[in-house]
Amino acid sequence: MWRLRVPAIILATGLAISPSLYAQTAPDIALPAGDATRGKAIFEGTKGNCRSCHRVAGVGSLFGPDLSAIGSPPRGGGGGRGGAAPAPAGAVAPAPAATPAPVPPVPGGRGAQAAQGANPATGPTPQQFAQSILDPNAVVTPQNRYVVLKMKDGKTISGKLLSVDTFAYQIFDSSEKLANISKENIREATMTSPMPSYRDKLTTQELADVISYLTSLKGQ
Amino acid sequence: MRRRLLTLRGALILIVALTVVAVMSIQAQVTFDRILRADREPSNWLTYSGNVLGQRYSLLNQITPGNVKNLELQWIWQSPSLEKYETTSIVVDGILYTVQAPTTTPTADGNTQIVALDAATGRPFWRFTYPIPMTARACCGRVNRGVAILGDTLYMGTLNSHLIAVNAKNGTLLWDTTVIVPPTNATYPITVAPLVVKDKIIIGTAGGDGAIRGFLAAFDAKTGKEVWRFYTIPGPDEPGNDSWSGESWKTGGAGIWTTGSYDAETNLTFWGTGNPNPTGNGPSRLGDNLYSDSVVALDADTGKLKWHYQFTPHDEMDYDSTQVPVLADVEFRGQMRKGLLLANRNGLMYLLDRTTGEFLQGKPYVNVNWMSGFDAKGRPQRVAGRERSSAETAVMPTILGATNWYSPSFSPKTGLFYVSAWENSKSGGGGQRGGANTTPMGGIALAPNTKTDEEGFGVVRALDPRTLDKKWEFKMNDITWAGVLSTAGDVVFSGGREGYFFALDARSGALLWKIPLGGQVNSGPMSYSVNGRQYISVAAGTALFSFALRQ
Repeated sequence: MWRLRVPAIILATGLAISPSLYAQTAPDIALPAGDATRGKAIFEGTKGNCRSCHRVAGVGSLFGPDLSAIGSPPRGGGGGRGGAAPAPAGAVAPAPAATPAPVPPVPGGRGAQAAQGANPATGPTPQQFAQSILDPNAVVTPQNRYVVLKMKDGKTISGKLLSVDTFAYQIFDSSEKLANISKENIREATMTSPMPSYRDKLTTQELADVISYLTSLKGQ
Repeated sequence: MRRRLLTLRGALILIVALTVVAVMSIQAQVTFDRILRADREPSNWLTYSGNVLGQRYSLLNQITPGNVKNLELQWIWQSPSLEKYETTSIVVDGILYTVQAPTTTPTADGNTQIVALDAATGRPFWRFTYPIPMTARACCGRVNRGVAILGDTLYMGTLNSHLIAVNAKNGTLLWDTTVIVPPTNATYPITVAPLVVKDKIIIGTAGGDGAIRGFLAAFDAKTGKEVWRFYTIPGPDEPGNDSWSGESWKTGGAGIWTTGSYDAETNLTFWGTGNPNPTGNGPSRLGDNLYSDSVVALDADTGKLKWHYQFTPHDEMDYDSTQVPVLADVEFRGQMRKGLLLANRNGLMYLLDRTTGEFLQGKPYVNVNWMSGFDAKGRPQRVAGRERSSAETAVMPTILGATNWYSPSFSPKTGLFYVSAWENSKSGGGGQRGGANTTPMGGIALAPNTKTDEEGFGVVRALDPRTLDKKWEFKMNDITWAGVLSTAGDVVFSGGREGYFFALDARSGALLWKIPLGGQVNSGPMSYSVNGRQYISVAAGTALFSFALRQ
């Protein structure tokens, strides 16, 4: 049983988060032991629909962080852009999810980054995984921020923030294209994760299962 | 008879020709009077800051808010070095002298070089190579901020603590003086561009993050012989030594790494000093730690201290005061005062009386939380707990400061002071850089930026020296390491870590023009003219760029 209280976490950037901040955001629930096989099924199935935004072992979208090695300690002290490991060479990206959710879920859009590198020796703790899944906007590293750009022509463009300067955003958009968006054409920009909370979508057991699966992902 | 007449005629022609050559030679000499009255020849940029007042202001006015959009690149000079290009070039009568910093890896072209270029085309005339040991470096890079000139001689400090003199005509070494032989436990790298005052070359050394005892020294321009030396940390028999506990004064830092200024009327030269060492270990050096984090006013002939003002007593936040002291006459409370303006790394803008050192006023120009005000003598009143050793407190500005060595600018025409600064940049407990995105020391290549405004951003701010209030600002998304140039055409030039070089309206701050240069702008822009055409020059990445209006 995991009590979701920890004294401190270290993000991929090496930024220390105080216990008080973690206490404000971490869910205070207890988890049963998880089953990685069941978690994999949730992750890949329509319930989690995680691969519509995340990639594992070369399968899934590149929009969100690659989770192929999310259960491993971070490389080089963490802070790497995107996922914890690159997709295997020769991997073929899958077709989009057959039944995409109205708002594409991006597990880890924020929270997964908190999970990445959370423990330099062992990788993320179950508590950090849980926080990432239940409250993905709670903690996010700068390398994995997302923006929603409301354009003056009425369109909305969202994407992973690669960089922002005085005059433009450079993003990896939801159609997996690199785009330079001039600020002249933007009406409003918000930095928020498109990943929804799974608080009301997964049971406590399912959450534990998914965490077990994520913990098992060690890359190659 | 006819033959004698021809001989006389030939002799006269020869005399006239020699006279013309002599006059031209005299004109080519950069006398100190020319440096002192740089305002008489705005086509040249004779010193690091453009004039001895430290103003980085050009009287050239060909480029205006109305036509600056027509600026176009005239030439690029690519340095073979992969170090940050922090040099401000000087220009004398159409010749531009710049410095290639020694690269970080040994290559054929990788040593320090003074390079003479045609200022209109960027074509090289000569280069002088000065080998620097690979072990020689300052804390934060193997950088060099430029040369000085007097007569026909260029002067440059080196990372291995030498001051050298080089013939400006052909790039040959004239003399090489060892400024200091470093002890085994410290280095005294020279990164600063020297300041010429009369017949002396004034220079200081960096290294204040290590166990140095900082100093400023003057050398005879002709011989290289040291004339005077002023230690920025008083010795045992001098006033102020008791501001250091124990033996800490011996290794207390207070380096000099940004060029000072000079006031001919009082014959005082003004220099900002660096942080006390060890920076983050205040208890090892109890006391105010004079004259660290100060501006010192010295008699330029003798090096004697006339006055000092300490901006950050007993600093633990690395608030070097190595910003250019800018001299300008400023109206204060209804009276014109001989002012010294300094936008400090500690986040505060100051107006001092440069004749007496009297504190006139100080005010934050960015968000500041380490102090709450000043006492009657201008000493900052610290906020308890807002210090490096406080584990849970975020301190603003960060240990990297609100600004740094890069130059501000003062326009006598607009009466405004322009400074590049970091806003919202804070250090967490233990002096760690805070915010989710770190703000590293300057680099050369463009780097992704995903900071939010709450985590820090760069800004060019215009301040009114009379009130120290902000008049306008130009906000960037990323932080900046670029200096500022203002011109009589009412245009302000600057850049930043994003790699843009841009022009602003000096009165409103409105963006007038921009160009991406492909590398971080780490230097201060300058301006000169050749054959009546105004140029704006700036370094970015590892290259030097020069712009002029489209013809």
